[in-house]
Amino acid sequence: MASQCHHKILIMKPYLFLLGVLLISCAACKKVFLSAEAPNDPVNNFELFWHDFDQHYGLFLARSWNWDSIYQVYRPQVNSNTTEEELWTIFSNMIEYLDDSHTFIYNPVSKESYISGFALNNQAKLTISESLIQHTYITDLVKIPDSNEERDIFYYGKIKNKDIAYMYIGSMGNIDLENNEAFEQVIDEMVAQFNQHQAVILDVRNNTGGSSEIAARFAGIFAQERVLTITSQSRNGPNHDDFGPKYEYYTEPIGQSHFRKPIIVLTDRRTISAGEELVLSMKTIPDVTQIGDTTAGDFSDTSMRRFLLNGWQYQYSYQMWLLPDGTSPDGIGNVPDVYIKNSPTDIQNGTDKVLESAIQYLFEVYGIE
Amino acid sequence: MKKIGLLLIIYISFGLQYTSAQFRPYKYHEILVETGLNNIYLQDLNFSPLNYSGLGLLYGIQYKRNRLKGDYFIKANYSHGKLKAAISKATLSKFQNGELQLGGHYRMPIANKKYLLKLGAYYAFNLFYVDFEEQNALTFFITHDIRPNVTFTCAIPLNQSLHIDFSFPLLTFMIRPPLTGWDEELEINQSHPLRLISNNAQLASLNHYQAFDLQLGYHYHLSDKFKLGLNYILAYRHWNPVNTLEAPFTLAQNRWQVNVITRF
Repeated sequence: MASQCHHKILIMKPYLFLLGVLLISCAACKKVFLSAEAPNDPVNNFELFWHDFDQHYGLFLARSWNWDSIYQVYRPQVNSNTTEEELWTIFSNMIEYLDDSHTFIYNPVSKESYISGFALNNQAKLTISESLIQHTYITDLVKIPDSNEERDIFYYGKIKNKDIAYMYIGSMGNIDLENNEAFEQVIDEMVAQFNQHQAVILDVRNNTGGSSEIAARFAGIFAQERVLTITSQSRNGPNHDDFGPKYEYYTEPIGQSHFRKPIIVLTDRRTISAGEELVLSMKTIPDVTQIGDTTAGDFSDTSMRRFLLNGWQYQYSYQMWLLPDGTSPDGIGNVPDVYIKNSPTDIQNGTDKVLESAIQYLFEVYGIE
Repeated sequence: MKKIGLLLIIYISFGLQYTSAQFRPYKYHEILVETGLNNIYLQDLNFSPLNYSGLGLLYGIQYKRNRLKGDYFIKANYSHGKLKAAISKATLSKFQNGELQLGGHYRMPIANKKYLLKLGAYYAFNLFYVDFEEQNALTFFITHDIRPNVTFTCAIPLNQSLHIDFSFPLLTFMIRPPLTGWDEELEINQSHPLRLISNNAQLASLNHYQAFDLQLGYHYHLSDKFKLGLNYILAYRHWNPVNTLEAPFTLAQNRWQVNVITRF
């Protein structure tokens, strides 16, 4: 009898064991292991948002911003009864103070976003027309394939009736440089075309940025020697002047095909980030003239996407970029050698004054026509 | 293909004649192949103030060389899946987890052949990576551990066995993203995996890094050559960094796995 009972217990063992496993795995739930999230209320979201910037934002020092003053102004405006709309306005005002289009907030539910200091940059959207350039000013148009389906990002050709090549670069994205042998071939063909002319107009108006590598690749067509362009450092501590090691970035010749004649770079307020990096690199090269409006002045790289307790997302600059002379270009941008900008009316009337000014400059200074 | 299938049937049939769930010390090679589900809970303040949970698939393979006095083994597993925070679907992110273990066990002398107790240690490499919207945000931790390990197996009637395995890291080197989540060094090294898994490793003492793996398993011995198994693993990792500016994380994983083991 005892033996039978013992046998039953042995047969039961796996079931008891599996029951134990089930109990442990049920017990091993989120609440057991993870401490609770901070409550999702306006005050906690404000504190999280302000402190995250305070500990990670990279441009307080370069731009002499007083972030504590933002706390003093806006913290009293937030309490547990603050509505979502009110909080959105407060956060928008807080980041607007930074005047940095790498800094934004985004509500993934309403799809609404607010980009710091972008209103002025965005006005330049209406001061250039792809269609006007392609149909009125250039001929022998070649479009470079890219992954952007909304507009032509890269194209080049020749200014009508002039011995001047033209190239438009509308983004520093949409090209995979590492796996794109075809792109290198395109560059070789394009530079061969450039070299048949006396000058190039490189148009980076409305270039909203992207990859620094792509900017460096384009600058590498025109560079004549290796020149220190910029240094960058990332925030690495609680104080606004805590930064990690300094990394140096150079403008240098890349690839087999190069162009070594006068170059005009066209810019506007919507030439941003990696678009501005290209301009910065171009300005280290002899015989390069910048014509147009000052660029946006947003150089530092953007942080990872950050999250708030209410599901909103945001991003900010976390680096400090310095020119070789130790000054920061952030907030200043690339100032043109010749200042001129289109109005939306100019474009509507079929005139691109900036492009025409570049053509005129090449004639007056270099005798190229 | 038919030939391979036929050979496999003969191999299994031959093995079935020698079925036994008792443990005798003899030499053999063992290969384990497993798959399953990985239910994870993550709190990583470097990535987000929100708590995340998710589910993924898991795959693993192990080679073990059993000797008279113990064994040595190498094991790799990989899991991937999605996780999100409760507040919004817009937090949906992808995770990947890879582990490599390399070690051995010493077989403790026990008179009763129904029980098998092994003590050992292994080196473990662990990479856990979370990616939100194609690197719009990411976080990771990489650990290099030395872990003591105890395993206990009990043979039960009808060619079955139960298995408990417990390990925890005694010595850990931890690699985490920088304060800002991303920096120039990560950017420069992103195409150099060996640098990524070794640069900036910091020694993590037991005061700051607590972790364990608890495994409960059941095996049905088809033959001396084949076993089928069900495993549950609770893997827990908690990092509370020395530098208060670094972000702590907690990761808990519930893994349910099925496996096939063959000996030769």
